[in-house]
Amino acid sequence: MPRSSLRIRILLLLALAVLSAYFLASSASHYVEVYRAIYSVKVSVLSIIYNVDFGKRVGRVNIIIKIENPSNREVEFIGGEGKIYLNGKYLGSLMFYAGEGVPVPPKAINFTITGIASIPDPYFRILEYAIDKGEFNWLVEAWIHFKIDIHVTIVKCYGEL
Amino acid sequence: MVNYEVYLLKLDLMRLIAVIFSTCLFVSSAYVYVHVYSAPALPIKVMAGLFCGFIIGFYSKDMKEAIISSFTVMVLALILIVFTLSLPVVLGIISEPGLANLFIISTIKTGISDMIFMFPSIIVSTILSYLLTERKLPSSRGKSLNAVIFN
Repeated sequence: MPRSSLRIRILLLLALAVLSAYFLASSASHYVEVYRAIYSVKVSVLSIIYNVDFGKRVGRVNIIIKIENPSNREVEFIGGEGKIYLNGKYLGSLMFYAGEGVPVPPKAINFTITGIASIPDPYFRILEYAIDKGEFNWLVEAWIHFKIDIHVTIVKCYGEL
Repeated sequence: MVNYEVYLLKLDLMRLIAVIFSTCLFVSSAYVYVHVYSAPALPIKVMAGLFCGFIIGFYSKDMKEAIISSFTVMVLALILIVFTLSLPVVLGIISEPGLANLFIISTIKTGISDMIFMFPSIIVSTILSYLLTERKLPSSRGKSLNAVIFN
């Protein structure tokens, strides 16, 4: 076989390797950048408001969470779930509804979302007891789902009030 | 003569490494591209696997080498894909241990499911190497491809 043909085959392999390495590197850097943007989002508990109906023994707690997005990318909030504790005792599960997604603009500082926790009857006495005593040590443990492009991931929120 | 044989063996090994390295990079880049951007996954994965098989089959000396190379590419591509997709954990972006574990498990599952699309590449490479070397098609001029390249 002529030497030029061998050279062409080796060059083809080399070109393939270089092109592939370029695509791999660019994809990987974009991927890392997206995750860096998502995980730079800071989530904290802003306030907790409770509504109780002593007659029906039904409680509802609204948890307002503050989101800060320091990145230059728009992050989409697509929901969340979690648990709420009162004075060290489990009170109920927590849900954040976002419909088809709520965009958190870039460089947003005071973006708030509200989660709802319905307190079922067996746990209502914990709330009742806390209201009687006037002691409220809330603990919120939530997993907030964010999305950029096609990448969906979870950011954990842990807050005490 | 002995030196010449050693030289040929070294060249043979280099060729094998070059083929495996290039195809592994190609397959990994295609699969990672699909995962990172919203590109049509199925056609790209299938085409990448077939193209990979074509390259391995074209550069292989015999069928055995084609099969071994294809399997090696599969394993290396799996490792590279899992490593690339778990970069947020490797670089410490996801620092929470529970989430990091979840992320790694998810990337391993993704990588393994991707490798299903690599099986056609083994068949393609084997058939191509069979046609080019064992059957001695007129295109190979009665010699194995390796002999054609290195003699």
